[in-house]
Amino acid sequence: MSARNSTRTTTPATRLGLTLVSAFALIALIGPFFVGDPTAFVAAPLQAPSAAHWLGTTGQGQDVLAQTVVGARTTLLVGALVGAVVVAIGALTGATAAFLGGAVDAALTWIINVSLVMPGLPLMVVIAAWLPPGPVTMAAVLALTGWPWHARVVRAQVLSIRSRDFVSACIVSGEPTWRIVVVEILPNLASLLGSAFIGATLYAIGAQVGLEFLGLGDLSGVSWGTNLYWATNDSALLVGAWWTFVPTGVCVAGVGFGLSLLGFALDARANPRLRVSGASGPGPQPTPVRRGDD
Amino acid sequence: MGPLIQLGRRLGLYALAAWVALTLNFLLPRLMPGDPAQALYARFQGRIEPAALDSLRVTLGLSDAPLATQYVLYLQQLAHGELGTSLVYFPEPVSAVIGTGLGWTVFLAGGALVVSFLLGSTIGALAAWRRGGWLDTVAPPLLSFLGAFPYFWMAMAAAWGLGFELGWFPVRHAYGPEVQAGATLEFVASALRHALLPGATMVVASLGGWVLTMRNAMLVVLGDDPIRYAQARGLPPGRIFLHYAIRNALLPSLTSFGMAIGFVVSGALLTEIVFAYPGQGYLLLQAVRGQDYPLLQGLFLTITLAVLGANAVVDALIIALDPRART
Amino acid sequence: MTERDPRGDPASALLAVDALSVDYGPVRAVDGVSFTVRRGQTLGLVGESGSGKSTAVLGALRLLPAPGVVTGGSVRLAGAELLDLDAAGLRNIWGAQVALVPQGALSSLNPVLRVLDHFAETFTAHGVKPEGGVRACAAALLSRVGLDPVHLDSYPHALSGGMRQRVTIALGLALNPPLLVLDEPTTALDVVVERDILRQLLAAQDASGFAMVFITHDVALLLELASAIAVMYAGRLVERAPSEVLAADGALHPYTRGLLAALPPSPGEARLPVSIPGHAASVADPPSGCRFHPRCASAIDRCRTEAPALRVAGPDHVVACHVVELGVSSPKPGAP
Repeated sequence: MSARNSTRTTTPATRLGLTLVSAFALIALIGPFFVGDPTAFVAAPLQAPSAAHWLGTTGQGQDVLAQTVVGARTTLLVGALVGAVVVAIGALTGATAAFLGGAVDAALTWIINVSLVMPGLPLMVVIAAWLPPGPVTMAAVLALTGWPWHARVVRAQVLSIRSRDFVSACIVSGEPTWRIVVVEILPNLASLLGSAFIGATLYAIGAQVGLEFLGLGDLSGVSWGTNLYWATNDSALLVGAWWTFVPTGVCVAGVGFGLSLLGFALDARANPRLRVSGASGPGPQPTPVRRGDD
Repeated sequence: MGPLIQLGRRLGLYALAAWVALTLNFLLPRLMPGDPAQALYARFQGRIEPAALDSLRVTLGLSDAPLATQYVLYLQQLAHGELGTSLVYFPEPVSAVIGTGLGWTVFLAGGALVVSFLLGSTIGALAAWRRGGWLDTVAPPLLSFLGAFPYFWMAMAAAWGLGFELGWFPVRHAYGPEVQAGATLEFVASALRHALLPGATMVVASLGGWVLTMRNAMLVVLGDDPIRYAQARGLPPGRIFLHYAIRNALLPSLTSFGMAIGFVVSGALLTEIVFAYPGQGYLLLQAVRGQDYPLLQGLFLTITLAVLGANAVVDALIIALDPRART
Repeated sequence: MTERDPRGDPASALLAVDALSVDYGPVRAVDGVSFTVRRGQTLGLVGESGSGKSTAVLGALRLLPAPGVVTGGSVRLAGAELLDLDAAGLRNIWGAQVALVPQGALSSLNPVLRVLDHFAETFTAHGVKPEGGVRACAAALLSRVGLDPVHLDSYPHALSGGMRQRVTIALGLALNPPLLVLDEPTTALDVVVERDILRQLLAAQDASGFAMVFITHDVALLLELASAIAVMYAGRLVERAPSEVLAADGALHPYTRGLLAALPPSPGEARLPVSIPGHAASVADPPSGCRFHPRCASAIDRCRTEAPALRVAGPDHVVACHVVELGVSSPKPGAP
């Protein structure tokens, strides 16, 4: 990925984003093999960072470093999976609406719009409260509330691609619908779907951490959200045990910032007006005069 | 006619969304697999008073009446503002419990939302106007970095650092124990002081989004024909900034604002929990922890309806500001 | 390319553009273009899209958006050197000394302001308090271009394309500038509306005596409208002549002759329209020598290697071509 991008011009921000995201992916992938059992009672509760426990211990006497590293695996895995599912549902719904048009489009558009205006957290809370806690419930709830935005974006994009000349020509010449979708539409959607996946993963991580913080996750498991839940539950703030919530928060922000930077890079590629080319302004300026090169 | 139809369509959408929320609220406990309602009911039996148990029965839909009859009954009760009885705050009715928290949430989350939008849009507008300048270089990356932290984590860090360690701000509740709730200056001052830290963390966490939205909207508008035509007529930069750039960039920005209300309110609810701020979010936590299903459902309804209402207000504002939507 | 215009007489000119060059990044979009406009005169600037005609004029007025840069030459408007002015100095000139009727007139008005507000802000920006008030003055201006003053309280989106074009012309006349620059003002309009707007414009010119620079790709329009016509090809000026000379088959440059031959014949004229073969040269990768040589039937070896300089062909008539013989055997300077 980075090898291919280096031939184009990547900004330092994009490189930082790539570095952050790959670093955390690596931690999630192999990190857990290098730390102990995150749920084991290893030392006295709420010990400050020391040589034995680099990030201290939790209110239950567990190793914070182990919890943070193992939490990365759970949280990022659910985040990426839900991100992919959310984009798939959104793309399928949006493309169906745009392609079939008519009553199907009208009905799907209403469903998309209604789902869009419903505030996410209360809906997730009320559904999660009724389902047995666990990663499946978590993923289902996140997927259920996350898709409408992507459906809307994909629908708009497919409508615009459909109206382009080459696709109209294919439709008129009687090419089968599936062929048009696979050969003409999907390749044109690729960068949009990439950007959507980044956004959906970002959303899935944030919402998941929030729900778990409320106590709606699997409290026997270890994830970034449950780490923060236990930190407040064990009164970390009152006793000043900053090490119980700072490492996890910094990790959430690190992944989130990295994904945002990648998202900006994709946006700037799609919309050249967002690209900054040197300082300008304030506002519209007269055409500059630069003599001397002739 | 155009704008009325447009507003009507939006209001119709919100009405439909409200109906979906109401119905979801009704169906969820009744349709859950494995009859969790029965299990829950059994769990609470003997632990709470009979009157509370009756309330739970109704909320859980443990009735032999046909679903349609139950639905009509449910809607009738809702129409009278009856949401059942809270289990955690027994014997308070859910509507009364929610009522105590609604004002605080509107004050804190609403205030933070408006401040954040105005401040963020101003920064975004200035950054785009002096594109590549120091503000444009520093603000977007810094604020997106801050925005990457979960709202409630930002609140935890602020409460720990500025509250407990430095003691600059009160970190719990909506006003101090030394003042009586009422229309007194002391009460207002105490409420403002208590709202400052939670409000500020919400603003810091959400500012980056508004900055980027406004900046991007401005960059698009600044490249448009009206700006160049204004320049060609010799209009001063201040006039172009206010009446050409800002006014035209604000409309797409406001549309994003409407769409983000639900998201920001969600973050605000979690912030309340950290500060034990007695609003909807704090009640939500109590309801989840105490498995207070009547309260949980009531909160879901109220928050959803409030967000839909706020969306309708924003839509009306857009129509008022955009002549294309008005005439 | 800095050859001086041998016949330029900047002293008596309202606008004197001399050896102007404009770059877009590495591309020289306008290369050493010179022309003058006298008071009350109409200069037509014609060329295919991409020939740099709009770029040359907007660059000269310092109104070209980034990444355009003026890289050489001189632009004197009523004696003031526009290339030496700062933003504040230019703001005093824009609108008051030279008014632009923009190319994208349909999208140029501010959608959140009423038509009246556009007039009011233009007056305010230049510290002008019109006699009888802004509304009366704006109403009179709209009437002059054939638009009912009831539209003063309309927002732009409520007006048709032709109405918006009339508003931009009225706005251009608002401060009674000595020079009006019209950048393809009628391209997006249907013929009937175009004719009517041009009629009103000429009537206004008769009444106020302002000069015009009219940018278009429509030579036929310029033959009727302009007193002089400048022809651009791939960023360079190839010929400049009084329009009656061009109308009387006096064009010398093969490209100009090609443009005129491509016009539909007037009734009773016994010829068929002939288009120029090939595609317009790109300024991003211009041909060597004379940029027209790949499409030119009369090209000789010299045309491929050496760029032709502008030479005087007659009164107010210059041409940049190696092939045309000037003087005794020139094709037909004085033909009827």
